[in-house]
Amino acid sequence: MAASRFILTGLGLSPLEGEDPLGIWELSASRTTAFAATAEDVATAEDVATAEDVATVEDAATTALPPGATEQGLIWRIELPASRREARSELETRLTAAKVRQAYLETAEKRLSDLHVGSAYSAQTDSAESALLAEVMALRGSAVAYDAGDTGAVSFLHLYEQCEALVARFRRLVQYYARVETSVGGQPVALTIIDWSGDYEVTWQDGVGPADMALHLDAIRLVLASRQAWLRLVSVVASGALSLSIKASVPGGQFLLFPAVYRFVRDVLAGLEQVQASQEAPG
Amino acid sequence: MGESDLRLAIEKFAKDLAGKAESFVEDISTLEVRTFTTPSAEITTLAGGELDLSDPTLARQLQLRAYTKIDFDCDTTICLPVDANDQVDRSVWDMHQTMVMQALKTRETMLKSMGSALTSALDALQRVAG
Repeated sequence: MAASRFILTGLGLSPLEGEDPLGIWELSASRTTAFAATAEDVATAEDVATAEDVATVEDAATTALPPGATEQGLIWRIELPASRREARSELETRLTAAKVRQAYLETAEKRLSDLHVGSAYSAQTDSAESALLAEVMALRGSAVAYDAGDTGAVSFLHLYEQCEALVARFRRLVQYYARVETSVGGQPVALTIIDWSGDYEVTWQDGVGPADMALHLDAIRLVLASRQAWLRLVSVVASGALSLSIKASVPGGQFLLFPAVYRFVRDVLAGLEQVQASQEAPG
Repeated sequence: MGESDLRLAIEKFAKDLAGKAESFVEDISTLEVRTFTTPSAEITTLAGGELDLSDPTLARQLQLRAYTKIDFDCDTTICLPVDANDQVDRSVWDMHQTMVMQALKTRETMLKSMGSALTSALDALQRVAG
């Protein structure tokens, strides 16, 4: 059986940055698609993106774009196996994962808001909280003046770069809504374009059956749930960094704390994943 | 670098989000769903974007089979798909109706997301001001 693939193309990532923080999609800078894009796609993308955006995207995706290629929108491509039963099961698993990640984000948000900056951080028993509070205290005491070449400074700068890449990625999620392409057993079934006003343009292959229609519909639901979860991630990190900066009285803290809060949220998600995995493990 | 680059990225993101929220409010007055079909040989080279039927190449590849427009006051325009005998083509119509329902759900989710984003923004502003 051919394996399923869930690929999001067009975020303008270099391969090193190609990681979905929610672990649902394979992020690809590659522009290969079962549904070839036309000049019209390209023109639409150019209309939306500014020259600066295109430059940023070109910088990031240099490795994947052929010379002279132009930027296009986001394509969510779902490649499903020929077995409809397996295809449905794959989609259900991912859809459940997207919903579970959203629930985890609520937990992360709650833990962020429960954080007491005034108390000694050693009293915070959980390591994610301790690590975050340590960074808050360091920022509050202006103790972030790492020497050049210091491991801490390098690691912090790396985190800043990761956050910047994340925000740039989400800008593209905002710029484009969704173009969803579904293929089953290697055969394209349908494509749907959803725009920011919620309008749908759906194109079906002639003679498509009810089972494949249902698969495409589930694919759309998965894309929408993933978009929702990603935007929620940004909102949890941004509002968490802001409220923590106010609690800790760190000037400009909403920006300074963004990487630390992002790391905290990722740590919480990873921790919850681990708990779930251990609960599901046999024996 | 680091902080200022990140600050710039976040500012751009917020600006884009505000712009989209504004256009969303402007565009929300109607919901349109178009259902096309295309021969299997054509779908692999199908053009995306606006699926503009005034483009003759696209018009040859795509057949607009059903169309629904729902105004904000719930006035609804529907174009039904019919077969060669002028009978409603049930398979296409079912597909289309399913998509209209999905589009309505999407719109509802968008409205909730926008509402929640605005609430968060206001809450954050209040906390900063307070």
